[in-house]
Amino acid sequence: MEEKIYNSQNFVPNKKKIQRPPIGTYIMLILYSLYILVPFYIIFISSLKSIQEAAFAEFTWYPTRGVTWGAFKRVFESNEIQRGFVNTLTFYTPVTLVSVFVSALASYGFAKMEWAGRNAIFSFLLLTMMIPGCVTMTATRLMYDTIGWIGTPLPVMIPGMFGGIGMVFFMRQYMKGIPDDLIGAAKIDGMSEIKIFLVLIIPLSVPALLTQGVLSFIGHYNDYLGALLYLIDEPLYTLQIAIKNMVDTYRTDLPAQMAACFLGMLPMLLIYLFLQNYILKGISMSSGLKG
Amino acid sequence: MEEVVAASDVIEYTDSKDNDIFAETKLFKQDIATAARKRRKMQRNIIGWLFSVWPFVGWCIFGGIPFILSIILSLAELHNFDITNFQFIGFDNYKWIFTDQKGEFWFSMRQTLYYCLSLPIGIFLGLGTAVLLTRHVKLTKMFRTILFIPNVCSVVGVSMMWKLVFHRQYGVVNAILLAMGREFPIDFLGDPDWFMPVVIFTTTWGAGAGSILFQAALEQVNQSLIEAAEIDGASKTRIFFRITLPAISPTTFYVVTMNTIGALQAMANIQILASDGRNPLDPKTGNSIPLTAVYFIYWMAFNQPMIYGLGKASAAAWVLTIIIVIITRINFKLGDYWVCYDN
Repeated sequence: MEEKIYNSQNFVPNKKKIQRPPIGTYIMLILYSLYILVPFYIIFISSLKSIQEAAFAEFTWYPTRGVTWGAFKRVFESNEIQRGFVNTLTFYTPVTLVSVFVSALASYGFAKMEWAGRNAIFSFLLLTMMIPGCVTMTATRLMYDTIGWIGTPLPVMIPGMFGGIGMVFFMRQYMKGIPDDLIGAAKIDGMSEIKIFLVLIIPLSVPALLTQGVLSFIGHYNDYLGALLYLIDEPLYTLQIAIKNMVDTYRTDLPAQMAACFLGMLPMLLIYLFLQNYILKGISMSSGLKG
Repeated sequence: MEEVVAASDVIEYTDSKDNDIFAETKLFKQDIATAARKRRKMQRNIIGWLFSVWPFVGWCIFGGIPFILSIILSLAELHNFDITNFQFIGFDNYKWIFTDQKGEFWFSMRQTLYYCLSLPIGIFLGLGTAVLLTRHVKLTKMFRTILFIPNVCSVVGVSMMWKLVFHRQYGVVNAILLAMGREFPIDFLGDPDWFMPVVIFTTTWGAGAGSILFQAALEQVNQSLIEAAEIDGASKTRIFFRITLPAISPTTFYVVTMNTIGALQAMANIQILASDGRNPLDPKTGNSIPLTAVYFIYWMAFNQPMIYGLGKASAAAWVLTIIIVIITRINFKLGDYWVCYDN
């Protein structure tokens, strides 16, 4: 019998066979996934219980006295959640759209144009990201009070419309990958910069724009602190503030509290499940180490 | 693309070079060419600025003005959001922070640092799950999806969820403990000894974002290095600590730095988890103060402006900022020893 000798001449790496990890890996991953998912199950199941069961009995893993959708009904009765949801959409949808467009515009300028002061401005913007938000919290509110923006949704809308710096950073990396020749060819054809941006750059950057837009919208939707600081009138409450208030008013109604929380988280969970590829790619690139 | 723009200038220039007889014309043409080039450069600058200046303008208005205003505010006495009541008092606010008998700010600062214990745990979990997931696990995609779920949930929803899980009467944790033979339930969110550990536990629930970053980094590690080490007979642990960890150290550094800055500014989750964010450490006396530094700043300016006021809040914010800057500097200095950028 001939013994097979592996050396550099006849060595063939066996690429097809992937070594699967031991079962312990799966057990650990499943435990960690349960750690993340079980709390969701608990709030969902609690929202299906009746008030009596939730208030008097101790915790059970399933509704022992029958499933009831009463908690969801009670949540919708007060109309606060609906108003909050509508407010969130009306305030933050335009902000997200405008800010993605403006950020893309700025990113194109930073990535593909030569102009005096480009690097200085870009470095300055990166520096401003280092300023902790807490330092300007009080002064920002004072400024909005002075110019009369408190009582309007403007404080959560206008600043975002100038484009996000993190967004610019990410999109700039992406647009640097667009070949210069393409832009040069468009210039020879007599296109102006703005036309190049609109008909060439935007269609080419759709994945980056979508990623950043979705991440930004999720951030706005979940924003609690900004709304808490600047939207102090009840008709302006966003969904997050509405949920927080609801929880405070329904102190004894545990199922309704949990139903409100569940409803509040559901839209973003659905968006995430549908667009997870974009979102996860955006997150893994956001550390900026790949550029 | 620049050559394209300047092409016409070059043609004009070479044309004029051939005819020595028309020296004046040449000079004239050169002048025109330089002028044209200058004009183009100017135009390019203007277009560049028009494209890219918006985030800068936005920061100047909504970041720069409050930034300067907060420096001025920290030197002033102001008890409501009406700038006409502004009173300049010099450095008294800072003096109050450092000499205050009750040491309220420093109490909240200590709690904030305690809260930072969530960082190493979160990094351990993030790195651990990332290492497990890059081992060619089946269903990797599903696990990745689950890992990131906490990061798309709002802080309000998540905190309420944990509040229920750790509830004294209805909470699942207490139900399990009672079933295991404990005689009376633990008031996790009202007991001073339990509050912070529980908050830290709930924070590490969101370690998935770090895990996604670590996975991206682990996929970039040069596999030939690892194969070479395997052929040399290095053990798996040795390979992990000597090759993989140094290779992903830039990502680790990024996660550490950003999460530290985030943790030092924690507020919303603690405000919701503790009943109204008050300190459960001292519920009897009623003069309890908020738990973390940023929440204390918010409380001084927005909840109790008559007692503390905007000036003290701004001064505290600046002290906190300086602490954050110092800690970040230390992070960077330490980073020189363990972060390796060449691989």
